[in-house]
Amino acid sequence: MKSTTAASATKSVIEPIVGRYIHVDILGESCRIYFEEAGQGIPLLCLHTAGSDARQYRHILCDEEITKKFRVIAFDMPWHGKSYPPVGYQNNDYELTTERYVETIRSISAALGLQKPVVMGCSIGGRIVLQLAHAHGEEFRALIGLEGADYQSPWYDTNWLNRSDVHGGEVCAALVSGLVAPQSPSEYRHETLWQYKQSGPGVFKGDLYFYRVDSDLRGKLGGINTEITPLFLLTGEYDFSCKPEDSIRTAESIQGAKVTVMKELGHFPMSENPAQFKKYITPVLDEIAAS
Amino acid sequence: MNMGSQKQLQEALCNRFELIEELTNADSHLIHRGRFLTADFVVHIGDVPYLISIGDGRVLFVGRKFPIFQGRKFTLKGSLNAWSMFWELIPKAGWHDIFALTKSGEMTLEGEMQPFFAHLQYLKDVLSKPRGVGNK
Repeated sequence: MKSTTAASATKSVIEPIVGRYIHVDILGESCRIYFEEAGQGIPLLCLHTAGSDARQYRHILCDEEITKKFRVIAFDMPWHGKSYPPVGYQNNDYELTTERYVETIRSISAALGLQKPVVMGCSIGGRIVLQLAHAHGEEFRALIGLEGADYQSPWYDTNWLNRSDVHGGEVCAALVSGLVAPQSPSEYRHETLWQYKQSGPGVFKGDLYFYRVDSDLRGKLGGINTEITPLFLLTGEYDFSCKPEDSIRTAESIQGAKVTVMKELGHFPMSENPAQFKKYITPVLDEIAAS
Repeated sequence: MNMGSQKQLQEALCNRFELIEELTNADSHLIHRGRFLTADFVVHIGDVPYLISIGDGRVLFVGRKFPIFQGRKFTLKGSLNAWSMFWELIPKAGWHDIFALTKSGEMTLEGEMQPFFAHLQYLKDVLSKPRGVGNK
């Protein structure tokens, strides 16, 4: 262990990820969006979970087997990571709605000039790809929902996420810590939790407005054509927020949707255990690239 | 499970739970993380209630004696099966987190929730201390 630490300390590595900012109009508001990208080929637009940011996709962005076929792009939603809230944010509580989320994705995709991208989202990102499939499916080459379902039952009161007598970063991370599989490497478990500790006040709660209040999609996903836009759902067995049975039920309601339950993974597969996740995402990306 | 084996399991789990005091107090960084918590709360191991007193992050008392007129902030109740599965070295999916278990109904949590949420990771770590540890 010591020699590994010493070796990594003396060997500098520059990752292939390039980060930039783009100014995008979203529902009439100018937003300065931070995005990272790597690779060439089929655009693969990645959506982070509620209360986190695009760092969750760093392993995908650095995976040469993926980036030789895909132009991987991950952006921080407004209010998240290095993307500021819109001007005047101090006068409003943040609440993500289905409409705002869809338009954020479509606006950023258009601003970056992406032609029929694949969209892969996790958690709230896994939920919104269902709405994209339903309302805008023809705009996308394929859609991948990680830890996504049309609905899942709540397991705590989100008011605990943003109040003056509870540290927001600590409680957000502590809550989601149980969603990481026990087999996930300690380094990546705590990296995943750090992203939650760094989230702005009320941002996780604001994202969950979309999840809890504004996006019950049960019975509303008609018209999805998976022959035009393949839809893949992958859910970790340790995710008790979006349980495997939630994703299976959702997939069974959509003709042609494919669902996979991922062993030894939780709610943050790409972030908490990249090696284990790769076993599951590789065949999906290969199938998309071959289509 | 017959009554005899149920009683054996109860005692074995209670013995493991009582290790919390020693295991927590041997973990100096955990004590440091809990240094702002001083509170009493109750944990049920199956049918057996325990009082736990925390002082500045250190476990001061774990036991079945409940002094009269002493307030308790909150109560966490778990079935024998819940604690048994929760304390597996690598718990099975759905049995690995307190909130997974409250969602499934295998555990319940009631009382004053502010101290619980304000010290959530500390309390989760204290309660999972017997994980993978053999019985007394």
